Amino acid sequence: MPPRHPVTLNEPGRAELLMGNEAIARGALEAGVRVAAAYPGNPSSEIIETLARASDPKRLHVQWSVNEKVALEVAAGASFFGLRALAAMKQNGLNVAYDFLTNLNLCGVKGGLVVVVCDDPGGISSSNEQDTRFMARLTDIPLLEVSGFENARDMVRYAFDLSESTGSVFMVRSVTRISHGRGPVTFGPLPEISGNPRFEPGEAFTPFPILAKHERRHEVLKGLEETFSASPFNTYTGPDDPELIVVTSGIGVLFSEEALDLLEVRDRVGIARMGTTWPLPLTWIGNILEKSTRFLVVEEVDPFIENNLKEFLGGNTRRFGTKTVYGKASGHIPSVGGLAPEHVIGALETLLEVSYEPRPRAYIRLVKEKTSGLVIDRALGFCPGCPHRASFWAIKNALAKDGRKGIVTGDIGCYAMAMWPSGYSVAKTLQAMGSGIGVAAGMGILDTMGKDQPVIAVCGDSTFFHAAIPALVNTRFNTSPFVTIILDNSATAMTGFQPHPGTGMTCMGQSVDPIEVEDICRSIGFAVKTLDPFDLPATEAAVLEALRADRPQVLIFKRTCALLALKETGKAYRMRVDAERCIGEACGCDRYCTRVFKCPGLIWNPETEKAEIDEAICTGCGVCADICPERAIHREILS
Amino acid sequence: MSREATSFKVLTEEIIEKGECARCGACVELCPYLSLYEGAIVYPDACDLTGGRCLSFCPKGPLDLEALARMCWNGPYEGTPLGPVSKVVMARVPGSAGAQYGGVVTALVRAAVSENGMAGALLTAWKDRAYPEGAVLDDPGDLPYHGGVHYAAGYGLAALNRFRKSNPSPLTIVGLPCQAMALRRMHALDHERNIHRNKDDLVIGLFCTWALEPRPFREEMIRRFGSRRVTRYDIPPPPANRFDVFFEDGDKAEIPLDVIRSLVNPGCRTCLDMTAEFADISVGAAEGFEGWNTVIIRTPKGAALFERLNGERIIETRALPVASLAHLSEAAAMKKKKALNALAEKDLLDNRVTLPSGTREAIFNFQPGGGK
Repeated sequence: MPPRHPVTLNEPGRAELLMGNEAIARGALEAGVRVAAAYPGNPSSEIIETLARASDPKRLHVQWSVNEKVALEVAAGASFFGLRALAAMKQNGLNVAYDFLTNLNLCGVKGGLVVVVCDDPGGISSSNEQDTRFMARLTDIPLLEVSGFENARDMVRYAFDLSESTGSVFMVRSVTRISHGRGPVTFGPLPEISGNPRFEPGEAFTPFPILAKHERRHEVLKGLEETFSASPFNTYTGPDDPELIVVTSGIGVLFSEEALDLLEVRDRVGIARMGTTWPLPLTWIGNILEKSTRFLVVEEVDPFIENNLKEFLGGNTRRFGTKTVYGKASGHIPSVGGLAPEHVIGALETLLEVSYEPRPRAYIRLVKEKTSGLVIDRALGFCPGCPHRASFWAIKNALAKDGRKGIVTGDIGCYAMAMWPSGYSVAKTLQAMGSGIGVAAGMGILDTMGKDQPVIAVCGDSTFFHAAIPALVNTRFNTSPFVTIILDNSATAMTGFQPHPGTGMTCMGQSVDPIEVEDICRSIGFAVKTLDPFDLPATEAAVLEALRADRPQVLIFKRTCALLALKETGKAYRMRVDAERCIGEACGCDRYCTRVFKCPGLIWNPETEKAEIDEAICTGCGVCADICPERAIHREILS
Repeated sequence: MSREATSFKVLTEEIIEKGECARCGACVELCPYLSLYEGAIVYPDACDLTGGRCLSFCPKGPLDLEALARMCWNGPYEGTPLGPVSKVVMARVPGSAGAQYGGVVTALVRAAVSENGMAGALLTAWKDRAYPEGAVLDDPGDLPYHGGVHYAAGYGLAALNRFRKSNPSPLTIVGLPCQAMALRRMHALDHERNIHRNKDDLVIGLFCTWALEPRPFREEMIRRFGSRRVTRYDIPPPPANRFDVFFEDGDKAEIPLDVIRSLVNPGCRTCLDMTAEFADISVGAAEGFEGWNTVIIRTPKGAALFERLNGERIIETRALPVASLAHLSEAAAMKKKKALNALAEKDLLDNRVTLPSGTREAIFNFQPGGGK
């Protein structure tokens, strides 16, 4: 059982500094959630991790599901039995769950069912940038947007209540800056958990009859227009007849408040904070629109509120007359990427003809001067000792030796960095979870049309369970000759080491029989070869052999994530560079270990012109000893 | 200000990838960036140095023939068909049944490796009968296995780079014209990490009109004969126009020579040298005289070795008929002419290969029978 977390305590009035995702989890606990499921993905992962600490087989089941669709299905199953349930995911995850969601909306729910989607504006830890709010509107489900920490807790509680009373799935949208920010939250009481799950005779949850169910969705949304107008999450602060009103949601609220204070324009500008963004709270927003003629919409990422406001204004020209809406279409607010206070300040400077200088230039210069050098200049890359580095080293060399200009289709995980120099830039495609194998399957079949470049698909272990298995079955069924390499590091490493079906542990701390990737591949019909990527020659030889086969091949590179291995078993070797043998930049080496192999555990000393081991971060994997052309790097076995 | 292109970039992009590589092996096994794998140079990573040994050794790299000739021969580069010649004769080893032609190369190697200070001989050998590869042998008893013409370029000098890392002694090196030229560049290069500088290697050159590109040749052989084990290949004199393959089980197969010509290493088309002009002594077949070699003695070192063998009656010699010499010169001149045209077509004359003024005209004006 994971250790208890303050969030799990039933101590009303207790104040804690909570991460946004912890506040969302607290909201679910205060709402009496009984089942929570998710697949890890930044910036949403901490919601389930927090709830897991309150888990209890009799009161609250929490799980890492194999993917987001299954997570939402699990939550729906609980809801159909009358329990409150939550599914959490990042924006990409909603796409995976969306097929189910677009049927579930019509079916309706029994126990409150809240889907929390954490968008990642700017794609800081994602493969895309995507505004999921449109997906709520698209599927006729109500949408709430959190804009703070206590606000997040309150809103999730509110969402559960309304979901249950309207029989509708609710979507709560957070963004990175709130999910990963921190703020004070004063706890409310945790409810008594009582009652058995029950599916009543006569109940059914199906989308049929479709038109009637669709009509019912529209009725629910119509009703919510008024419910939301009375919601405490939509508020206005400012003069009665402001020159301009900032209409904002999400993190835009905090940035707008900051901008108004810094510019000292509270007496000229009002702020309308929208917590319920779909359906539009018509009465409330109508009142706001009557207060002024100019509006600036501040939101991440796409113009969702902005377009909805314009649509509402366009349909009510007689009532509202001429209004001007500034925002993304007008170019005042960036139309891609995350927001920052300076974006709002910049827009207000233009619209109000005021100016703002945050700091004297000399001060900025001084800060830059004092802080440069505090951070080690290091490119985005694999951790020291990462098995993926060895894997891609072998893949790169095998492709070069094969000589047919083969390519690698990449996938989602730490190993996505194979797109960049840390993974020797071997990966040439990157899309969704599990797509590497599917895309490669579409390339492999081209052999009969004259394609002569071999293809390798890489896939992590957690990604394998998430979405790769159907693509692999398809590969075998439609006989697409390419090489699948499962990079099994026994962890969902990139999102923070959450357990998955191959690890033998659930997030509630239960031991289960691990499901072996190898067994699944064999059962599909592949002759699987498992290799240790730290054995570079054997790994490279296996890739070369697989590249030459004319049938689909599966290799598994199995080696525990270096960060986990360091925690579990410690360093295998102490590494040392023999300065006498190291020839550094000279012809014959040209800093091969630091410039090409690029493990951050190796550093180049420009004064001695020799490579060195960075003892502080070297994990002692020993691989660099095998790549040094001068055999100048030595391993010393540690007991 | 333009940055000088790295040696690696010129070598890989301008020479190897543009079909200019001679496959001599001089650039590989020096560093982790260029290595040999199954008949091809592979380079998974890029080096960012300029002035690297790889490009400086390359016989297809930037080359001033006049400078090389002055260094090597102490004389000018004149573009004569056979290069500097001290003496041309026919020779053979009496009763040398195992050799492909006159057995002279094997005899020269055996004699040379027994001389003082010689650490052994570098020859190009078959590896697993798949791809020829350089090998340094210190026991002359191993030699018969390596006798015979392999036709495919073998990157033999890679083995020299590998050998010299641990052994500085001179070697007897049997090589193609491109390898003889590379060797002279290796001996000459002033570079702090040049392990070949001023080595007293003896260079036995082989006549060569072209060599085959190893991977496509191998593929063709597998396509035709699967895994049957080949003992040797031969191109019988014209007008046969065929390529003979001899198998271990005594069988023989014939392939039309045009098929084989399509597998010629493209880099050979811009090679000016048929008779290994930069060797100490060059050896080839004596066309029309079965069982005899043509030998061109070039340097005093080559002459001394040859005379020793002659004196010890290990080999016997006879004069090369005037008509044969004219025929050899004509063939060598033809190779030069074709190469000059190919160099001009690829815009490499003066950019990559510099000839002294007048040489080009001398090559094109060469008249059969009128040459030296």
